[in-house]
Amino acid sequence: MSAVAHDVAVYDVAIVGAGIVGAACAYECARRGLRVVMVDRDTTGAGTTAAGMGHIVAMDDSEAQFALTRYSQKLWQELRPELPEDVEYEQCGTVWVAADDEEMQEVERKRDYYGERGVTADVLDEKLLRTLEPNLRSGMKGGLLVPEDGVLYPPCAARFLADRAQERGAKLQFGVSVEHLGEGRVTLGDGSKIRAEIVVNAAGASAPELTPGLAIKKRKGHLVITERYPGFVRHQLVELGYLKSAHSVSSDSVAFNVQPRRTGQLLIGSSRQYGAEHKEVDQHMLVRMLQRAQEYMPGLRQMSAIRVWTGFRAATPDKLPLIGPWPGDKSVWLATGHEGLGITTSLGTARILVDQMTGAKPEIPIEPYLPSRSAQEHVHA
Amino acid sequence: MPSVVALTVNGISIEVAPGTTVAVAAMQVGQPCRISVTGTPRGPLCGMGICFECRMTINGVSHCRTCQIFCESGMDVTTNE
Amino acid sequence: MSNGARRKFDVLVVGGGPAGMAAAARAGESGVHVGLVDDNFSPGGQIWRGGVEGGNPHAAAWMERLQAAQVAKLCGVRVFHQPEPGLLLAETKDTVCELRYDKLILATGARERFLPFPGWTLPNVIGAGGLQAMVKSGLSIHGKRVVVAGTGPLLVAVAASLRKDGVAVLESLNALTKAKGTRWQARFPAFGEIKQEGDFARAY
Repeated sequence: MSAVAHDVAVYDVAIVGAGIVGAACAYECARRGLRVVMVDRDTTGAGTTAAGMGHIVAMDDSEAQFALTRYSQKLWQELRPELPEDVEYEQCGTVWVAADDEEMQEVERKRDYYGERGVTADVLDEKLLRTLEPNLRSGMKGGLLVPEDGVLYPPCAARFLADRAQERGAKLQFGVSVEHLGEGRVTLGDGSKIRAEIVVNAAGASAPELTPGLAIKKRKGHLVITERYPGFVRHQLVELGYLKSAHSVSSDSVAFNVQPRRTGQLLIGSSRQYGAEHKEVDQHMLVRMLQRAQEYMPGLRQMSAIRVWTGFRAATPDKLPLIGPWPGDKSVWLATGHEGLGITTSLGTARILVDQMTGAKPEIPIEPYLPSRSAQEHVHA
Repeated sequence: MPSVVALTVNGISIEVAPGTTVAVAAMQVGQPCRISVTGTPRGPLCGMGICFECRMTINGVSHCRTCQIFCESGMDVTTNE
Repeated sequence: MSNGARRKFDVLVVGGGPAGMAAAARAGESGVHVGLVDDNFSPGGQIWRGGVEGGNPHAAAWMERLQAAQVAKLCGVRVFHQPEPGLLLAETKDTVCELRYDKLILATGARERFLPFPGWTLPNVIGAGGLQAMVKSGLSIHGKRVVVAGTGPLLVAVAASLRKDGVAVLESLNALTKAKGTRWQARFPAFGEIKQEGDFARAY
C-alpha cells in the first residue's frame, strides 16, 4: 500500500482511471508541475485501452472531431522519437477503401476536406490501390491514402505515459477500487480517502458508475488477431462504410477494418453493439464481422486466428468526448466518452484538460467537448 | 493403401510409410519446421498439437501443425518463416 | 462459414483417450445415444496412440466395447467454441459442425509441462511424451543416441521403451529422492539399475 497519507489534502489533481486517457492526463499534469495521483482498480491500460486497435487517425466526421484527432495525431508524431520499442509505433498510414462509385465520391470529398486542412491525402485509382494492397479483392474502385496516420500498441503506450508521469512526481495507485468520487475526494475500496482540488473521472465505459447522470453508453466491439502473415497487409485498411457503422446510434453493425502489426499478425475488426453488457464473445457478431472482412480480403479465409476478445467503448450521444468541468460538482472534471478514438485523442485530451485547469490558452477550441454542453439545447456540429 | 507416400520438404524428396506425420518427415530430412522471430530454427516439442512449434507451410497454407497432419502424396512442405 | 453436420447426442464425450473411451463406452452400454469427439485420427489419446487397432490389448478391448455400444466416433473433429449451453462448435478439415447434447463429459486429458532451460528450443529437443508420440507417428530412432533427462516416472518408462527399440540411451537423468528411486527400481525392473547420485538418479 502507498506510504502517502491520503487523509490530508496533498494533491492538485486526482485522476480515476489509468487507461490511455487517464495516463496521458497524469503525464500532462505532472509535466506542468501539478501534484497528481492516478488510481485504478487494475493496472494502467488494462481496460478498454488493452482491447482497442491503437489506430492513430485524423477523422473527419465533424469539425470538432477532426480538430481533436488531428491535434492529437501531431502530438503523437512529436512524441514518437521518445517512444520505446514495445509501443510498436508504426506510421503505416490509412487506406480508406472504396467499393463502389458512391464511395469513390466520398473519397474525393475526404481528399478535399483533408487537403483544405493541411492533411496529406492521395486518391488511389483501382490500379494503384491494387499495387499498394494486392490482397484486397479485385473490383475495388479505389481508395484514399492518408500517410500520416499510424498504429501503436495501446497498453504499452499507456504504461509509457504513466511511467513518464511517475518520473515527474505523479503518484500511481493500482489495484484499488474506487467507491466514490466527488466533493474534492476520491474514496477507495478500503475506506481511505484521497483529497484533491480537482478529481478527474477518466474511467471510460465505467465513468457513469462514478458520476451518475453521465450520458455515456457502452459500445461493445470485437477484435480478432491472427498468426503471422508478414506483408499481407501494409496499411490500416478501413472501408468507407465504416462511417455508416460508427454513425448508427441504435443498431448493431460491423465494418471492414484490418491492421498489420509489426509481428506480421493481423488485427481484424470492427463491430459495434449497443446494449450488450457481457464481455463474452458474441458468436453472431464475430461471424458477421469476419464475413465482412472476407468480402474485402478473401485471403483471410485461409488464415489462423489465435485470439478473439471484446472491449467496451465509452459512447456519448453527440459522438464527441467530455473534456472539462462537470456542472454537477465543482471539484469533478471529466476526461471520458472517447468512443473509438481514445488512443488517438488521449494526448490532445490531456493538453486541453490541463490548459483549462491552469488557465493556459488551448490550441484548439474546447467548447465542443465541454461537459456543460449537454445542458444546452443544440448539439455542436 | 499405397505402400509409400512421396512428398517434398524444402525441395528435398522423401518417401515415408502411410500414417507418418509431416513433422516426422521434416525431422527425417533434417529440416527445421519453422524459424522463430529471433531467427532460431524450431522443431516439434510436444508431439500432440498443443505447443505450435511444429508449424510448417503445406501446399501454400502456412501455420499447419505438422505433428497432427499425415503425409499425403505430392505434398509440398516448406519451413514456415 | 459453410455449414457442416448438425448432430445431437444424449451424452457427448470430448476427448477420446482412455478416460473418454471408457466414459463413452459405459454411457453407450446404458442405452443412451453417445458421441465421442477427438481431433486425432483415431481414439486412444496420447498413451494409446496407435494402440486401438491392436497394438495395445487394453486399448483394443475398449475399442471393441465402444463399437458394441454403438458410440458415434467423431474423429478428426476439433471443438473450439461453446456459443450457448448445450451446444459445441467443432471444426473438421473442411467445415464446421454443431454438436448438441444433454450431458457433456470433458475427458480432455493432460499435457506435458516443460520447464525451460538453455537450449530447450533447439530442434531435436523434444518432450518425453512428444518423442513417444513421434515414434508412433513414424519417426525412426533405431540406432540414434538419446539423452533422457528431467523429473518424474514417465522418463523412466520412456527410456525403457526406447532401449527396447534399440536406441542407445546415453544418459537418463532424473531428479528424485532416494526413496522414490528405490520404489521405481522395484516398479521397473526391466530398466536396470537406478543409481542415486546426490539429487539425481542415473539409470543404466
